[in-house]
Amino acid sequence: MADEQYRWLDRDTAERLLRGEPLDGVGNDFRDQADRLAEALGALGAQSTGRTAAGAELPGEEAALAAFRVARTGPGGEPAARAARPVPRSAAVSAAVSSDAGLVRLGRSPGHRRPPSRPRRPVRYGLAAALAAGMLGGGAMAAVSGELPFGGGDPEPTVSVTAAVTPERPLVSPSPDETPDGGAGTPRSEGGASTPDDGSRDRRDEAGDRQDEDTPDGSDGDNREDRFGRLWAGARSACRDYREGKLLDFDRRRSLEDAARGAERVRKYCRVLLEGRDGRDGRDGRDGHDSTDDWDGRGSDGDGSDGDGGHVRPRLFRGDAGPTVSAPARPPATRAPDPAPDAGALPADPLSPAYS
Amino acid sequence: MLGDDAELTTAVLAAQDGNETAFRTVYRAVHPRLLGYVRTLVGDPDAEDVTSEAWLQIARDLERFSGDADRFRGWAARIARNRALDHMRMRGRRPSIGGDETELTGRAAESDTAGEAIEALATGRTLSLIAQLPQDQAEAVVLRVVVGLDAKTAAETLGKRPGAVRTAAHRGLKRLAELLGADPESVGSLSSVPPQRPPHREPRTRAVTSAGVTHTRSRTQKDM
Repeated sequence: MADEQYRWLDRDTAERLLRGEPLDGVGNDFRDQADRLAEALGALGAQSTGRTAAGAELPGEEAALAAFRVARTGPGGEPAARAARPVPRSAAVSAAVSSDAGLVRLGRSPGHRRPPSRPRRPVRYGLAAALAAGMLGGGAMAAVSGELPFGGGDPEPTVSVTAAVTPERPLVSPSPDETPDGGAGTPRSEGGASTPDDGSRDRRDEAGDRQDEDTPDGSDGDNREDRFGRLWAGARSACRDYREGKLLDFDRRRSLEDAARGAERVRKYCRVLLEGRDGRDGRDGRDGHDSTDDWDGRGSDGDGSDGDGGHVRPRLFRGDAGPTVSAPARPPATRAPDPAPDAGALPADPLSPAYS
Repeated sequence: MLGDDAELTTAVLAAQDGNETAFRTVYRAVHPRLLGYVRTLVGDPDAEDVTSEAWLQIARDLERFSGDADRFRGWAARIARNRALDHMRMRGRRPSIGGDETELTGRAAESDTAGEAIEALATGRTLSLIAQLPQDQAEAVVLRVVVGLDAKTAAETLGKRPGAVRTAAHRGLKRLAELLGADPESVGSLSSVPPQRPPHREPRTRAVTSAGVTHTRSRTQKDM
């Protein structure tokens, strides 16, 4: 390379060319070389942006979009259910359940596992999406903003609508008004909000609704399991963040405090929640547990899982008083071994990075 | 460009939220850039496939990303690069681009307008020159000019030190200037008379080329 011929092309000039900035200070002798180079670079860059008409679909766009949808809903998802159309509550729930099939069923057989290299977040997104679709009846934002699916609410369908419902935000909100618009998840968060409405109707009713609507997935118990699974996951997520010292926003913190029945109990609640649980293998309908998410002493698993040796179930904000988190009901012996104390690491946990 | 970047940043966030329209916006803003980049690595017949593969991963991992438009392009380019490198490993070599004129004209033939056709030719020709550069130089230039990354992000995408990337880009430009000087078919040169060309390359269209190129260059090249 004859550098002396291109002395004009010093680093600064090179940088300007790379940025597409006009050239000054290039002597006339070399002006044509510089222009030629500048035009070549212009041609190179032109195809990258200018040409594409704003409204024109590009080659490969549909395939990419399909991948995008799959990533949000998981296998067997129903992206259409979350497309930009208003989704009535029960349909939303059905959609959520079915779309969530691959996500929330903790501990499914490996065949149901999601493909490898699926990072943690997309699962959460799917989760959030399902929640957003109104798993608990869809609706306006509630006590928990955008993040946690737990924190059910009053037995009455009184929705404590907090702030603006953005149709695209995947709030888990049981209120019937929500129109989840293909919005699948708050950025990097996992749950939607839940309204007090959540417990507003008997879970059996909801399950019943879902059954009527859709449920390719089977039984009542499954749906309830799924729901619990999601609530569970949301609570765990909040606890993880809490334990990591992340700042929880007001609603999340409040939900956590409510679930723990007191701010001073959050730490213990989270410890039990995250370390005491063993039932990561949320089998569907395995426990056939009741709709009640009261804490019965046996603490049937929140995530539809098998044994649950004293783990903490996400407490839903019902009007009633549920049992507190404090006492694990089952002896630790029933705990399945956890690969890691952090729930996030559990292989069957859709939130787990190991899921990849 | 700043405006476009703001739009892309917003679209990425919305797409992460699940908004499909936003995802399309992201795709349309970024895909041509990725494709251009990948073309310099794997050549034309394969570039579309490789870029499609990249998009599958981009779509799947979208939530993992955080950052602004520039970082997003860099992140996407990195994914595309990895797919391209895999491809190149399988194929065993980095192919030259556009040595075959039919490839270029074929691409131009897909264009809707004469202006686009000309641009495609011009782009193709430059790409063919770029493809003659050593890979590190080619990538350094293309990531800046085609993908629109700033120097820092380009370095991150390549996994190299910024200084090394800057040097590679500088050398690449010098080499490109050399190739252009030596190439009688230099792209859209104002001063040179166009040699024998396919019929549609009229002086008039050449003016369009220059004007179009200049215009789009100032519009499209990233001003950081």
